[in-house]
Amino acid sequence: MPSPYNLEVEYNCSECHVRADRLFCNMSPDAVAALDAVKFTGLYPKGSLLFVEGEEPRGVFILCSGRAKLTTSSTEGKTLIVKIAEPGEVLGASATILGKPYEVSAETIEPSQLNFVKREDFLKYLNTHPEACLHTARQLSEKYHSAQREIRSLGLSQTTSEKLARLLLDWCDRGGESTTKGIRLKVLLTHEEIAQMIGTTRETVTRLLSDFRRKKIIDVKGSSMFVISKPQLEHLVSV
Amino acid sequence: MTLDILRPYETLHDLPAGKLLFREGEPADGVYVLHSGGVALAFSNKPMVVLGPGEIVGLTTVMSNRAHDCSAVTHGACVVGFVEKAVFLRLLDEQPALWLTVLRMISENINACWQSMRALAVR
Repeated sequence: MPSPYNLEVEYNCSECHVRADRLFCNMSPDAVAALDAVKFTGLYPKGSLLFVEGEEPRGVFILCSGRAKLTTSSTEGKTLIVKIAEPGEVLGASATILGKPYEVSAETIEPSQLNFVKREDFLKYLNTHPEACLHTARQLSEKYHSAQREIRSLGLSQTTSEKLARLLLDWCDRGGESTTKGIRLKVLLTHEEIAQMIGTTRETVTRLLSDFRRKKIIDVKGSSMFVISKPQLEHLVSV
Repeated sequence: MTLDILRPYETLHDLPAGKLLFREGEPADGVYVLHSGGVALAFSNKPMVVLGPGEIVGLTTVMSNRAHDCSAVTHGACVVGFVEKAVFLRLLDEQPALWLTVLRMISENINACWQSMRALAVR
């Protein structure tokens, strides 16, 4: 059936066929039915701003499909991507739980399906479903560990080339596909966005990637990047 | 809600400065409620953050059922109460009120991380 942005849409969480694979949504039928009752399904094109840093929390967005970038900005206007959220993640949960402004902004980087739950409904849901608390705590804990990894990378890396090497190694570990040409990474981020992930400029990323290509550490074909020499990347990472 | 729920299940330890609570890579066998003093979390032997009284050390590791991704060392003399993982998880089941505190603590930790990242990014 045709749908906006060619998304495969699932309006009913109870019937979602990928629910079992999702850290938050993999709950008992009762808990999922209760979630169904309070959520609103939305379909968003690429580039949709879900919430902005500093905004009072309206609620949480459960990312069903697509991806979103979480960013924070300095007063000087420098933007840092703190995380690329994947399907199954709950966005805006910490602000919603604390009742404090969102610490980051969230923007879709692909057409996405998101289920929105209003703050008061989400808090009520947590109060009445301890199972949802457990899943939220696991989800938040994973986010915390991911943020810690980023801090370690940003704080301990001596050079920008090391930061970029760490990022590529992280992508290899989390979504790399072994091929005869090397580890294939599907890179849907622009050089500007990669720069925002490691706190540098677009020009530096372009220069470093060219440098990696010249040294035959990576190769790029369209939107795919092949890591030809993982040991060389590991060598660049001193910590 | 309060961490007092945990008190009867804690094993209290009066520790000197520099005492290792857990090492990076070790499995999480419980949580440490920090009553006084501080605990430094170190990644690859480099201290990154110091937690203070009222915090639970090792909370996110227990919740995500993974190995510790940092080491924890007492930062000055401190008093900590250790609660075994199985006991802590059972208490969460039995005392749903504890959940809100746990979720708030993890949320505060995430916010602190994002603030650190912002600071590091503008260096």
